[in-house]
Amino acid sequence: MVSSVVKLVEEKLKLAYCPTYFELVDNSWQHAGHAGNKMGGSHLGVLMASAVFEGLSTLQRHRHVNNTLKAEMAGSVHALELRLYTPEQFAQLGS
Amino acid sequence: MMMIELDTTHPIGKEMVEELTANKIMIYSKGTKTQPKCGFAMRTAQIFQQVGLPFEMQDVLENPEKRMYLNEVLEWPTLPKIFIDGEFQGGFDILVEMVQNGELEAELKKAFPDTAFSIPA
Repeated sequence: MVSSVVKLVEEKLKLAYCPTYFELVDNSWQHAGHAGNKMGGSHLGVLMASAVFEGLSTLQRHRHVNNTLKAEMAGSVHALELRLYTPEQFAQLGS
Repeated sequence: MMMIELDTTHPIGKEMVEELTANKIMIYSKGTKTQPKCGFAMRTAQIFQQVGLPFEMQDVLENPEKRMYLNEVLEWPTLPKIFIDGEFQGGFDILVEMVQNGELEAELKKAFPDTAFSIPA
């Protein structure tokens, strides 16, 4: 079952970043037992390539995304693991 | 990159300016480099041990006032908090990305232009 938070996060990010690559994983099951993860959507991992990140440092990219998801981070999302690339960097990853 | 403005009239702000001036690599963390108290602190220490440059890791777990101050000034809620040459870099996951994307090497070259170091593979 895909939780509604996961769906909402995906929609928000796709809208804000028009990613050329997007992957969202729900790692909540790895944290079973601690608060807020019975429904899933508490521990998320995002891998995303977007032109928005051009010219931004890693810290600035993380801050940008954390800010976009501020409401979710204050609510049910406890941990967000981010891998953020420009389309160009992403293309070079495999090589 | 973020250059933080620290209030030197605040005792903790003053203390941090001294620490960041004395230590080009300064990490506020859970535990110290010899006694890390969480996995992220331990892995952060391992990375900088491999780098081979002097670094300082301060335990702020026992100092809730400083921990709160850091959270507010940096608008960053988690530990560790990693500084290079007085500039806040982020936490452990950002450090790992910086290792991979070449940013760590660039920052360390600026901070230690005359010293050899190695970036972990």
